[in-house]
Formats: sequence, structure tokens, C-alpha cells
Amino acid sequence: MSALVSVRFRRGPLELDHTVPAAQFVALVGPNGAGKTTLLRCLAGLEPDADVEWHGGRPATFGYLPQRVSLYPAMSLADNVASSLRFAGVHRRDIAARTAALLTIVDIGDVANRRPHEVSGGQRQRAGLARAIAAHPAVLLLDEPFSAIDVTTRAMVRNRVIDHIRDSGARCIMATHDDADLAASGAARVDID
Amino acid sequence: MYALAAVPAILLGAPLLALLWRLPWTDLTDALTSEAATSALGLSLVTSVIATGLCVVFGLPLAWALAVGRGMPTRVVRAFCLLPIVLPPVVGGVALLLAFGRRGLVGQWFDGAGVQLPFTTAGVVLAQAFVALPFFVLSVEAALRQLDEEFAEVAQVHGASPFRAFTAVTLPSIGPAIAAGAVLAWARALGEFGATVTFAGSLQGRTQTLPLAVYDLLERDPADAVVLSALLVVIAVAVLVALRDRWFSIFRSAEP
Repeated sequence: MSALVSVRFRRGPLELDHTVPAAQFVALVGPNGAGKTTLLRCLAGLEPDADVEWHGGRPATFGYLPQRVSLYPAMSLADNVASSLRFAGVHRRDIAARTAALLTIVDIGDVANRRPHEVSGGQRQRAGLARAIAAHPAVLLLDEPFSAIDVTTRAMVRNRVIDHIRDSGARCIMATHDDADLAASGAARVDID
Repeated sequence: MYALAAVPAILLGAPLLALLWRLPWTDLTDALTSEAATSALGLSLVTSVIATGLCVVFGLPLAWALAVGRGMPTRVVRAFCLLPIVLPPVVGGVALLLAFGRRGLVGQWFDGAGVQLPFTTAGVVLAQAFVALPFFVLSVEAALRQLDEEFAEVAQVHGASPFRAFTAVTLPSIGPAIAAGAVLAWARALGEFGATVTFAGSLQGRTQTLPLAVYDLLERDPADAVVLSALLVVIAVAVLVALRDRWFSIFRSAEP
């Protein structure tokens, strides 16, 4: 398979030299501390010292779900999701409807008006997922995207989000420890160790 | 131990009790509506609010620069910013005269442009902003330092410019610190005496703010001075209630 992007990065004992294939879904798999999170940060452009080469040119738009989710603390979950649409320049009149649809996909409509510290870790992760996929970015960078969601609904949320990504045509690069994430998305596997 | 603890408690409490004790309850309205009182009250409110506004507008970028800055230059600038807190206010007033007076370092240009600061209402605002600014900057800088940087990064990955990420995401999340800093700065500006009297004088209706009026009235009409003092005490208590535990956290987290 052709290469999508190559990353070289060194910090202390951590040395990354990886090529991500041009599959729609790519799973970064490896033990804690191997550098999956750092690799995603490099791809997101958050590590200025990283040597990142996008073989087809750097994508114009990104969606990002960091491991700690990092929702905007002063905004409700709905505003967190809507913010991505605003930053992407989506027209004002379309934002409310698109936000509502996204909240439905991850099933947090009932807590949409609460702020991040008022909801559970799983609900924060769902909101972070919706925020990442909201504006149909060209490339999605998801760090353990379904790990905090309760087991009973995880499969449902996973399938819905993966379907949404598949339909939007975005490329999705995710760090994961969960074989079910690979199975559901049919992701190409990149071992990080 | 309790006996020893009572000594400072009396030291702090007795003056306030004495103030209430001597308050001429029957003449309260007369004292508060006298010309000296109303003009001082009006002037104090206007100047302290403008000074607070200046602190917010100029203090925010300064606090941000101090929060993200590293190394020696940042430490030097921070020291200058904090100086007015420990400086005797009257010395601040002298320094302001030397800087912004008619023949001052900067003031000569203002004078050339026809702008006069010393002994004007604008001078009052400048003196208040000078002493109040550190309180605002300290409060906001501490909040910015404690902030997790990751959510501003997320905003930028999602297409926000650094400026947009700051205004849309970072600024709202330090709203409480901005409010607390503004209240502290306003309280400091309202109570300003030394720098104001030195730099702006005590002209009724132009530069005589509440604290200056209290001092002035103490010789002519002590009862009225007590009433205005009590008014300032009420405002101070209201500020403490509004800030509650924030007051202490501001100073705890001032240094990195």
C-alpha cells in the first residue's frame, strides 16, 4: 500500500520513525509509552521539532481527539461540538442542526447543555469524538477514541462513528489497544514499539 | 494562647467597632448627600471604574505575556509589575510626577500635545490604574499559568488561529480569574490615597476622591468623615464577600 505520511521524531529516549499507509482507517498499536500519542501529536502539527512528510501534500483540515479529550472547559458539550463547525467556517444557520445531529450520533443529547466537569468521562469522550468529526475534516487523529465509553454502548457508538467517518470519506488514524476497534473499522495496522 | 490571639483580634476589630460606634445614625442621609460627599462619591465611582477598565484592557495582554514568557526578561518585567504593591503609594505618586508631570520623562511630550495629567481627573485615573494594575495582572497571570494548554492546541488543530483560540477558548475559561482580578483592582483603585494626593492633589469635584474627602473632612466635619469612612468599609466588606476564598488563592499561585 502506498504511504500517506512519514514521521521522524526524537525526544529523549523516545525515537519515532514510522510510515502511515494510505488506508482509510489506520490503527496505531503498541504498548504504553511506545509513542502512539506523540505520533498523533506530530501528525496534528503540535510538535514543531518533528519531521513530518505528507506524501500527497499536507491535508487542509484535521479533526483531533486527544487522549485526555480536553474539552473546552467554559463551554457546554453542545458548544464544544459546535466550535469545530465555527472554526471551520460553517455557515451560522447550519450550525445548530448539524450540532444536534452529531450529538445524536454519540448519544449525548440529554447532557448536551452541561459543561465538561459536570458529566462522566465516557460522556466527555463522546463529546470529544463528535467535536473531532464535526466539520468533516480530511484527516482524523483519534487517541484511544472509545476507551472510556461504557461497555454496553461502546460497540454502538463505535459503529456509528466509524460509519460516519466512512461516509464522509475522511482518513482516520487512531491509537488503540482494543482489537474491536480494528475489527469494526477494518483498519490497517501499524505497530509502534 | 487565646489571650495572645485576642490582642491582634482587638487591634483589627476595635477600629471598625469604634467607627460604627461613632456613626451619627440620625444624620446619615445628610452626611451622604452633602456636596463634598456626593461629588467625591461620584468622582470616585467614575475614576475607579475607568481605571479598572484600563487595567483589564492593558492588563490582559501583559498577564498573557508574563504567563508565556520565560527567563530573565520576564522576571524583570514581572518585578516591575509587582512593585506598586509593595511601594509606598506616596512614592508612587512622586514617581508618577517625575514620569508624567509637565516636565516629566514622558509628560513633556503630553504637555507639548496639550494634554495635562497631573492635578486633573485624568491624573486620578492614572494614579489609580498604577496602583491597581498589579492586582489584576497577578490574578490573571496565575490563572493562565495553571491552565492546561491542550485545549487551546485542540482548537488550533481544528482550524482556529492562535488569536481565535485564545479569545474563543482560553479567555472564557479564565473568566472567574478576570472577574476576581477586576474586583480586586477596583477595590484598590477606590481606596487609593497616597499616589492620588501626590500626583493629582485634592481639588473638590476634580481630583478629590472618597478617601481624600475623608481626610479633608476629618478636620472640618469629623462626623461626615466617619460616615464616608463607614461607606468605604461597607464597600470593602462587599468586595471580600464577592471574592471569598479567591483572595488567598490569587497570592498563593502568583509565582511559578
